[in-house]
Amino acid sequence: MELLTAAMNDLELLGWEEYIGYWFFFASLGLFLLELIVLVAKKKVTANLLGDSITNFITLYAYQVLGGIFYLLFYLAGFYWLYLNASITHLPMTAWTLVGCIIIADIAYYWEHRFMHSCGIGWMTHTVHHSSPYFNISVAYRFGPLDGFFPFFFHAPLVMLGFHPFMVFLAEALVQFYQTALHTELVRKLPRPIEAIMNTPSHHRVHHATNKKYLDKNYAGIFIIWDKLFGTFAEEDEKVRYGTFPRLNSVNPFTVFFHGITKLASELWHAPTWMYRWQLLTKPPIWAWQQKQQLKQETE
Amino acid sequence: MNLFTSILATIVIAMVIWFAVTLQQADAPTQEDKFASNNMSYEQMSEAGYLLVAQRLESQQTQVKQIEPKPQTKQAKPKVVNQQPNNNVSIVGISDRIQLTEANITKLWQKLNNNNKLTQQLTSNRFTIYAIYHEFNADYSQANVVIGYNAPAMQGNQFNIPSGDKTMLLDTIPYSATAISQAWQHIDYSRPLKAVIEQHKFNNDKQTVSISVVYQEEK
Repeated sequence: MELLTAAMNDLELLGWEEYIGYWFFFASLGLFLLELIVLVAKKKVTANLLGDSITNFITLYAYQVLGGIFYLLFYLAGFYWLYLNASITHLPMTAWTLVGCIIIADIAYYWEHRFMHSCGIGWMTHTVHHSSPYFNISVAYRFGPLDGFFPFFFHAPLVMLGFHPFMVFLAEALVQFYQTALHTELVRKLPRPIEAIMNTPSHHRVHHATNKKYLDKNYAGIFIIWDKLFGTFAEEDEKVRYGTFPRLNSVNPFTVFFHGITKLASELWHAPTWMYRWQLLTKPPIWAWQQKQQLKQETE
Repeated sequence: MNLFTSILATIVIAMVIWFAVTLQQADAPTQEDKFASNNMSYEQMSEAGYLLVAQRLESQQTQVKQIEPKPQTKQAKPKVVNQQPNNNVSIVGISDRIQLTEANITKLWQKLNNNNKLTQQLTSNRFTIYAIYHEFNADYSQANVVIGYNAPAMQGNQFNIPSGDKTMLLDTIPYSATAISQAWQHIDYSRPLKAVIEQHKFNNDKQTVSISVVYQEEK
């Protein structure tokens, strides 16, 4: 109990994030190598899979180079300003508070993730992550250019509730690390009690699926209970087909990284009205596709 | 659950958890807790934070392994410690060349403790003090002694810990003057000696100590 209420300072919170993040990356690489060995044994390794995996790590690099400093300053300045000027209290900086922060950050992640899937402006960047036709650890590192931007708005309320900015960073990072480890086909199903409460590789495979019954399901980070509670849960009970519609069919890192943005920009450019443009940004991605199909039918 | 009810449920859950957090028996964070990294660049912060956690984990592992002070005997194989973290550490404090008598060493420690300019710069009540003995004279009765804080946020003259062939004399234990004195007796004076490093860690009212010796690297 004493351990749970022992005070931590901001350096320690940041230190935990740095320490776990550093070693987690190497653990992920190890797991990815293991996945490759299994795929080699099953004779399922193809040039396309290898190209796709390399591209995934290139998108991670591009994301960090192009957005790293901007996101860092944006989050530091934004969170600290809110903490000093718009928070209702400053909560104790203890492990007990961190547990609470992780749970709330996990719900925030659920909503941020659901937002990314529910409107054109979110999907333009998140589509990069989903566009791989494969499912392995490297896919977890497949980032879109604006993936770091939207989470700010969903986690800012935590700072306003009084959680220290570095504690929110740490909680966000822990949710992300957990999520990363789910991107694997090595694990089929975990014991029932775990599958019932926690997000698992099985649940996350469903999230990456293009099967009709799996679309827009399982947004969870750590706890799958949020999906069950909010009605967005689906069980993995048929073979999963990964990717997005329409298929990207490219391992060119530049195409992969920017395809969401260029597609939305083109649609906005060719939009017939300003209302249509607004809807492209705020309606689910399927809306634009339906409009195109409708237009096609009318012209035929 | 529809979208509106889902959002409402989320707010209720978040408030319940927030309320549970406020019920804990813990003090509100001090300015030092919240802004210990003040005046540091992000790079410095992350490096200092990483080292802080790594040292904490290392010292916890040592405490689990060792219940009693266990100075190494001459027969025991010297334990070579990883020099990487310590070589990156800079310390801020005071330095003097003194005769190595108990009175002189105590006086130097008092000088550090009474130096308000330094203690006022401490960012937290958890910190580490290094005492480094180096540049010994021929009969090891005199040395340069540096005593200072390992605190990246502090301003002042910095002293880099000498690097070389490092051997642990005393693993981290709760402070014990006897154990320190015994550890010093295990220095191999037949080898060229570069420095002796005492690391005193303070966490509120708890103090632990570890000692290592740095010999000249053999070519």
